[in-house]
Amino acid sequence: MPLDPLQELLRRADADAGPVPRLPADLPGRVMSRARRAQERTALAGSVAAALLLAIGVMTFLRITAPSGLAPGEAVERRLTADVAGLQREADSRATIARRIAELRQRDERLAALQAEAAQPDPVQRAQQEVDQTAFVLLQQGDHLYRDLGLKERAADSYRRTTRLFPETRWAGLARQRLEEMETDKGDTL
Amino acid sequence: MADTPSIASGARLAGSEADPGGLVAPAVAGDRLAFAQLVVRHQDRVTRLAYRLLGWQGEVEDVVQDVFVAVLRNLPGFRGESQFATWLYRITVNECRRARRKRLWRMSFWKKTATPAERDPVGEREVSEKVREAVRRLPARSRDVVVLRYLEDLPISEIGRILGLKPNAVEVRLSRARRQLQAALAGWLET
Repeated sequence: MPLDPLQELLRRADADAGPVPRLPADLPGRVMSRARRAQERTALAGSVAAALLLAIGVMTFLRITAPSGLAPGEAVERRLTADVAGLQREADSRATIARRIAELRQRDERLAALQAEAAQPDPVQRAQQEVDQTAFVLLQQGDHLYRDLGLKERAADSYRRTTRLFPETRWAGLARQRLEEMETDKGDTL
Repeated sequence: MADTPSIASGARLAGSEADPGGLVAPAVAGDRLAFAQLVVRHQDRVTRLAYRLLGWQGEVEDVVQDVFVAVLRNLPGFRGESQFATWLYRITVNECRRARRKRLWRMSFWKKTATPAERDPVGEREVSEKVREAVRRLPARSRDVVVLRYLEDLPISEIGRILGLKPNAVEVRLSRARRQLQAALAGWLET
C-alpha cells in the first residue's frame, strides 16, 4: 500500500532525526535503583510531612498557650493568673448583679407596703367612725336600760352622756329625742 | 518492587496472550530476574517510542527509566486484560506526556527563543526538522495518535486500547492531527 505524502514526510523526518539514543547496558539495575530511591523519597517525604505536621501542631499549641517571647512555664503561670483574674471579674460582676436584684426587691417591697398603706382609710375618718360607733353603743345601752330593763334614770344618764360626749353625731340627736320622750312619758304619768 | 505480588493475577497471566514470553507472571510474583529480562526484552521499543513521542529530543533515558519504574510499581495491578505490550505502551505514552509537561513548564520562559522551524528551509534535513517541529507543536493527544499510527505502524484498534479510546475516537483524532499537520506543512506537502 503506497504511503500518502504526509506519512512519507513523517517517516523521512523520523529517519533523519538520527539513531535512537543508546541506553546503558545495566538498564534493569538502574531501574531498580531508581525505584528504590523513589520509594525512599516517598518514605522520606512522608516522614518530613509527619514531622512538619507535628512541628506545626506543637507551634500552634505553644502559640495558643504562650504569648510570644515567654517560656512555656511562665506562659502557663501567666495564663492561670489571667484565668483567675477573669474568674474574679466574673464573680464580681455576678455579685453586683445579685446586689442590684436585692435592692430592686427591697424597693418593690417598700413600694408595696406604701401602696397597702395608701389603700388604708384616712385616720381622721377612721376616728370619726370609731366615735360614731361608740355613740351608737351608748345609745343602744340607754335603749336597753329603758325599754328592756325599765331603768329610766340609768337610761337617761346614758342618753345624756351620748349628747354630751358625742354631740355632733346623729346618735346624739336620737338620744335627745329619747330624753324628750322620757320627759313626755313622765308628764303623762303625772 | 512488588512486595505483595498478586499471585492470582500472576497465575492467570502465565502462558496467556498477555504474557507470551512467560516473564510477566513471575515478575508480578516478585521475581527480580524476570523483571530484568522484561526490561531487556522491551527496552528498545520503549526507547524508540519515547524518542518519537518526546519529539526526537529530551532526556529519553530518564523517561525510559521512569517508564520501567512505573511498570515495576504497577505490576501487581496488571490483570492481563490487555497484552503486556499494550499496557507498556500506555505507560510509555503517559510518562512521555508527563515528561513533556515538565519540560514545557521548565522552558516556559524561553518561549521567545527562535526555533529551527523559523529558519529558512535549505535542504532535506531542514524539511525533516520542519516536520518534526510541526509534530512537536501538535497537542499531546494529536501527537500521540500520529506517532502510534504513522511511525509505530499500530492498527487503529490497538491505538484505541493504548489510549483508552474507541476506534472511531482514534480516527477522529487522527483526522484532526492530519489537518493540523497539513496546515503547518502546507508548502512542503505540495513539493
